[in-house]
Amino acid sequence: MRNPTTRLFEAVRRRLLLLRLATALRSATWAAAAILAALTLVHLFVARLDVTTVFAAAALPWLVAAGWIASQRIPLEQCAAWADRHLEGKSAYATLLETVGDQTATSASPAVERLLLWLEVAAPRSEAMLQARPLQMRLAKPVMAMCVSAALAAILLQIPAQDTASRLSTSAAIPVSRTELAAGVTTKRGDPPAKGGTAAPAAAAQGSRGPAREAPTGAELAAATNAGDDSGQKGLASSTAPATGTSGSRASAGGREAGDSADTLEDTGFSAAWQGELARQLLTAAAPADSAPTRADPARAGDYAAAPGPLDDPSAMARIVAAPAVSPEARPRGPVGPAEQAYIRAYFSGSGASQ
Amino acid sequence: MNKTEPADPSFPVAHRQLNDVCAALEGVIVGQQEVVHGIVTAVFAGGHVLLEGLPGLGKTHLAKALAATLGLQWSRVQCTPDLMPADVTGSEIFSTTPGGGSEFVFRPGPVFAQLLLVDEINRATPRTQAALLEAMQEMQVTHAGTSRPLPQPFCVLATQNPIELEGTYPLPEAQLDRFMFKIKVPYPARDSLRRMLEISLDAEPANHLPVVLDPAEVLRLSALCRSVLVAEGCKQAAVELVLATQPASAAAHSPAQAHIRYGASPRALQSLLRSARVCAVLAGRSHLAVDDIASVALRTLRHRVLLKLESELEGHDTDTVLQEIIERWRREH
Repeated sequence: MRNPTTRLFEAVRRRLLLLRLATALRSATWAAAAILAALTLVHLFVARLDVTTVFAAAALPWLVAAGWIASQRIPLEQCAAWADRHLEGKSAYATLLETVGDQTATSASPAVERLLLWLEVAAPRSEAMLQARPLQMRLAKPVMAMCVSAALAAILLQIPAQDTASRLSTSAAIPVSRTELAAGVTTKRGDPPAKGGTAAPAAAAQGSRGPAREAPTGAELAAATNAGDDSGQKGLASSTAPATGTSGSRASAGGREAGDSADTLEDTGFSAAWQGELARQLLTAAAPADSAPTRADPARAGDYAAAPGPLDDPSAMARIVAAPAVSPEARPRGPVGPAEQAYIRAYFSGSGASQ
Repeated sequence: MNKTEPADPSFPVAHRQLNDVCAALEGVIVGQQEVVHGIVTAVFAGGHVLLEGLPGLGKTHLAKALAATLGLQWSRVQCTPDLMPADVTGSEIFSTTPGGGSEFVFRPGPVFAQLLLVDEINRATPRTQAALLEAMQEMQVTHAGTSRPLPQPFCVLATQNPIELEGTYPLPEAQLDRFMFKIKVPYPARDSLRRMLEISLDAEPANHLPVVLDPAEVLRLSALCRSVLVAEGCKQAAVELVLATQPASAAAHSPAQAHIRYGASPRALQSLLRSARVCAVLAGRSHLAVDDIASVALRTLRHRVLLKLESELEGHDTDTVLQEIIERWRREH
């Protein structure tokens, strides 16, 4: 092997090592950027991570790349093949290696002599081509990506992990609402129902428009449940409304849910004159004598089954006495309800008469 | 150009001599450099050439010029449907001896020449075409149980017309495979036509060509071409190219799988490397390069692959498919 060829092979070996180094750097940089981004997301949404841990994990690809580079050995055949392909070697370098390595080949054959002469001219030309060939590291994009990832990670890892609020933002809503409902039931069983409390609607409005407030702890909820007074209710409503969302606001706004209380026909809008004496007696008979359950409570299904209906009680039916007929003129004219007023207006407007 | 070139076995001399032959032929066959290079390559690689072109493009003229340049003894067979095998290979005739006796004497046919021009080979019957098989492959003719070797070097230049196919007998695949190259003779360019007028309007330039080499030197150069160094990478590349044309092969390229019914044979692989070695010498090298294989690939493979019928009906051409395969193969090697 002549000197120009040896020099060329050494130069090609260095170039191939640089190319592999560039490849390793590219891969490590991309991997580090990906690891930084992934661990930042983990920190934000899953679990709190330490900055040191994140950057130590990002250094792992670099260690692997360094180990890979250190383990690289470029054989001479590879240098020859690369020179043949990229430096216009026209397979001369590979042929030379095979000819030199072949012990049976006669080095004095015309073909070998001609090959050596050809290489004496071609090797310096190939070396010049190698020097003129730019080494393309192509590291700009991965380095940029890694810098962006590192900067974002450095900033976002300073933010404390929002694990409590974020993780409980959806799952905590249901238990709180249940607790609040339980507190409301307990309160209303003991006290008369709040008629459109002023604090609760305000809290609901605040919950719908105001900023988010910190959710109450379990102890606060228990205290509010046990207190059973209006102040506790208001405090509970005002504190839970924003955090628990719509359901919490509705429950704490004094709105009556189905089964919360006995139906006293107070909301029907009909006057006592329209109910009549018979209706009043029926309602009195149907009213529970004791503290019978008045709301749908799945936990007390047996109580509902055992409770007698109003018409099933013979004594109650016996207490109903037919009232004497009273002429309409003799009836006391009580206040006319809004439904009655609307009906009367419609009647008179339809008949063309005036009131 | 001097006929008495010193018998120097070196590659630079061989390179110069081969280029001299090409230059002499190009001086007569104007504007057909590719054709001339192909024929010279085939002759020195020990192969045969099938020339395909329209009438009047100088195919016969080229054969005569080649024979004159190389100092070869040549003969011509004009094929017709009534041409018999004995008309090509020779026959025994009844002859009387000077002593009054009689015997059958073998009279050699035109095949016993160093350069055989078989004009319009596809007009001969398959039987006559088959008579050339042994001569082309074994370089000998067997007649009446006796094998007679053909003179060396021996090269067959066959021509065929791509049109007027009525009354012709297309060459079977087995015979086509015997040809190292199938060279298509194109129309000359404008400048070449103009120059051709100056050269051959009132003269036959092939009759006045100097002899560049003699048959012995042709044989010596052929042997020198066989000593070209071939690296393992080049051999592997040639194998990959042949496999790329075989649709059933795992290494087949997608154009081969889509359009080729039968790919190139192992004989094609041998022809590739033999002819590529001559190309290396023509380029002044004593070692083979992948470029040499690429330069002879199309003319070596085009008559050895068979397109699918549906691809032919869709208008696909063998050359187009092969060029796509060669380009892909070249990018890989």
